Amino acid sequence: MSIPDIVSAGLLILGGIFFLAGTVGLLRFPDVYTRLHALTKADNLGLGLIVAGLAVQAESFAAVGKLALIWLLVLVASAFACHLVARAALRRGIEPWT
Amino acid sequence: MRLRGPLPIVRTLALRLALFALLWWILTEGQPGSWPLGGLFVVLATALSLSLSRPVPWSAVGFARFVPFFLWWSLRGGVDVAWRACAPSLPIAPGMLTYRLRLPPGRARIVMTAVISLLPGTLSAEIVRNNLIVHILDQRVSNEADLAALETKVAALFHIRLSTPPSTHAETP
Repeated sequence: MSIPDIVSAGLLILGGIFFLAGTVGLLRFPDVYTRLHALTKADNLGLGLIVAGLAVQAESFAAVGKLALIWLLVLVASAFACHLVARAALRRGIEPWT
Repeated sequence: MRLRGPLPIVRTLALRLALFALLWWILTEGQPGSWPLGGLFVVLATALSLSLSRPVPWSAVGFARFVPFFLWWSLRGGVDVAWRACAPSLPIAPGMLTYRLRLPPGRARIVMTAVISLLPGTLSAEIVRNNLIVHILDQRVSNEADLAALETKVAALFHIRLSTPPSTHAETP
C-alpha cells in the first residue's frame, strides 16, 4: 500500500467510526433533542473525514471541489433540518429530558 | 447596511460571477468543451442571484478567520458527542438555555442559528424576539462563553459591530 492509500484508508475508517458513534447516540440518548445532537455533529464530522479520505484519491482538483461541495451541501441541509426538527418538537410541547 | 469599499456592485458582481464559474468548473470536472454553454449559464445564474439577493456586506478577513474556527469547533463537536454517546455512563446533563442575541435580525442570525447546531454541545431550537433558545447537552460546561465567541465571529463575518447593551438591537417591525 502506498502512503496516499494508507492516509485515505485511515480517514475513511475514522469517518465510519464517527457515523457509528452517531448511530449509537441515536439509540442510547433519551429524547429527540439529545438524539439530534448525536446525529448532526457526529455525522458532520464523519462525512467530513470520509470526504477528506476520498479527496486524497481524487484524480483532479475539480473532483476534490465536488467532494467539498457535497460536504458543504450536507452540512447546510443537516444544520437547518436539525434546527427545524428541534423547533417543531419545542412548539409541540415536548419537554427536554433532564 | 452599507457595503464598504469602492464600487460595491462591481465587487459583488465579480465575486458572484467567479463563484458560479467555479461551480460550473467543479460540476463539469473541468471539461473545456462545456464552457460555451457554461459561460451562458454562469451569466444567467449571476443575474438571477442578483435579482433574488441584495449585495451582502461581508468581510474577507472575517471569513478567513471563521473557516478554521468552524472546522476546529466541528471537530470538537463531533468528538465530544461521539465520546458521550459511547461512554458506558452516558455522561450527559441536558437542558435548555436562553441566550440574549446581540446580532441584529437577518442573515447574521440565520448563520448563527445554523452553525450552533454543528458546534460542541449546543443545538438551536427557537428564536423568540431577541432570545435564542438553545438545547444544551451538558449544563456543567460553559455554553454561554462558546455562544458569545461564536456570535463575535459571525459579527466579524458580516461587518457588524456588537454593542454591549443588548437592548439597543430592538426588533425592527
